[in-house]
Amino acid sequence: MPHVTDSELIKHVAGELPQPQRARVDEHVAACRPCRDRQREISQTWEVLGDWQVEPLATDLADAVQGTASRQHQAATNRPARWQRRASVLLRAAAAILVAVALGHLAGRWTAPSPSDTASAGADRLARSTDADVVPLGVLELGSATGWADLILDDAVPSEQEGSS
Amino acid sequence: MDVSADASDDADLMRAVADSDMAALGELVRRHEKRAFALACRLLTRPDAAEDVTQEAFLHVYRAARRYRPEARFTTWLYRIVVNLCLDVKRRTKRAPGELPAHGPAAEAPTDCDRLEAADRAQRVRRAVDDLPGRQRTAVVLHRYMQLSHRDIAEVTGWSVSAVESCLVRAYARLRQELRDLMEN
Repeated sequence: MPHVTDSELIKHVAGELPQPQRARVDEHVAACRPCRDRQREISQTWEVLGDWQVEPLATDLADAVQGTASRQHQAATNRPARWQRRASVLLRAAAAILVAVALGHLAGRWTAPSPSDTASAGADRLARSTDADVVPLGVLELGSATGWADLILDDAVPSEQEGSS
Repeated sequence: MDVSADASDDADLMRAVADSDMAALGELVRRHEKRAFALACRLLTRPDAAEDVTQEAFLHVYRAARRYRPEARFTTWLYRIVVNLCLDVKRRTKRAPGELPAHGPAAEAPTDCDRLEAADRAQRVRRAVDDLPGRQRTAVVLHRYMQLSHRDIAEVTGWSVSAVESCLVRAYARLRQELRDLMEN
């Protein structure tokens, strides 16, 4: 004879079992001492747990809940639509980037060296340079001291016809 | 009690709440606040915290009204919200083992032996339930005090029915051991 499970006994004590099952448990418990003892223990536990009573709710929460919900609803209604909030964020970000670029540009203008300063500094370096490899192209130009870059004009070359006569 | 009529009324009220009908919200609160409070009170053992949780639970109901599907009973949904809020409170306010906050406002002490004994028994039972592991405590409170079936408990908690049964068997066995002397008396 299969015994009744603890879970079935708990359901039986709680009144959850449908009638056919309840009748089967009653029949078995009447004939089975161990199951009867377990049912009694579960039933006693069930009863003892009933000794703990809680005080009922003393206030009506409906007004408080309605008031808070109304305020939340009003706040949600007054808030801009999601696309408006996103557009506002993007505009603020774009404005911040523009301001940063402008400030960076101004800072660059204040701290960058002038072109004349660059040329005089370069000539000074050249004058002091003793390294023959460091020859800027400017010395090879027309009219320079080395002269080998002077242009060879076409009319300076005697033609073969002139030489042979 | 016509459960199906109540359930359809709750569904109708929820549809109205989804349209921001505050009167419907108030009606839902009045219908279910006592049981929601009782559930929170037993899980937290502190009426002041239970009242806060109950109020917050109905505000959750309002904010989530558009997501509510009438396939689930409103009470199942509400109790799940209450249980989750209570678990959050429990996690935030862990207390030392054996320490139990006062139950309710400073009430007058019982004046005769029977009432003293009743108060002592209530305190013992409250402590025994509160000392259960979290899942067992939740299962016992929903089963013994909220009178939910195993299937209803499974819907509220999201556990399987077999997990609920297993939880209850262990919980009642533990309570039986803890409160054996009260049963013998």
